[in-house]
Amino acid sequence: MTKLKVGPKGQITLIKKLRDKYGIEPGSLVDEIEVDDGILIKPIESSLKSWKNLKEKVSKKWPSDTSSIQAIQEDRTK
Amino acid sequence: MKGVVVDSNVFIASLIENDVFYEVSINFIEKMDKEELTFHISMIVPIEVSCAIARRIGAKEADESEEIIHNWIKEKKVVVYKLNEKRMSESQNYGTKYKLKGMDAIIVQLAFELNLPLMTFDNEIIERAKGVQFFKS
Repeated sequence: MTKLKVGPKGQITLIKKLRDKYGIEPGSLVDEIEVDDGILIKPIESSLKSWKNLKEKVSKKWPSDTSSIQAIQEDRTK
Repeated sequence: MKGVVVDSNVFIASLIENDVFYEVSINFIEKMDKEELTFHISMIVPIEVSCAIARRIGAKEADESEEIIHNWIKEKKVVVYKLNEKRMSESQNYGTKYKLKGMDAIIVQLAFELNLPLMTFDNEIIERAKGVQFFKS
């Protein structure tokens, strides 16, 4: 457990090890959640990371004979 | 920040790792996410993206794509343009002039209206819509 000092406006600095582990960078958003015995800080996955995770799922199942262009052209004509 | 009008096939290509346009499209999405580029899209684009995914992959993944695009919209990295009577009429005119498919005409109209380059991988649009400036990655 690490002790963090609270600044005059309530700021705290998360330790680097945990920022790296959870991908928290300057500008990242985190959820501040009140729990029974304190406050939970939970990283919010960035939209880009979510998009790349979605890419993994889509790539596995996407029909191999259909390109991105064909898919949209097909949907626009059928 | 530079702006660009983006077609649905760019979003789809960035989700298919073995698509010929995967690298170009994902780099492009990353630039938008880093706020080096603003995406301007017609309201038909998120609809086409989620429908294309739903038809070929499933509803869950389609919903995820919708949610992520909506987050980018909330973050103002993607700007959505509604269809209205003026845009309908102009799209009809461009569609007639360049002999485009209806949805293609809506995308082309937005590029003309905003006077921004258009990013699409669709050669039919590139070859037909002569007056449009196309984005070079």
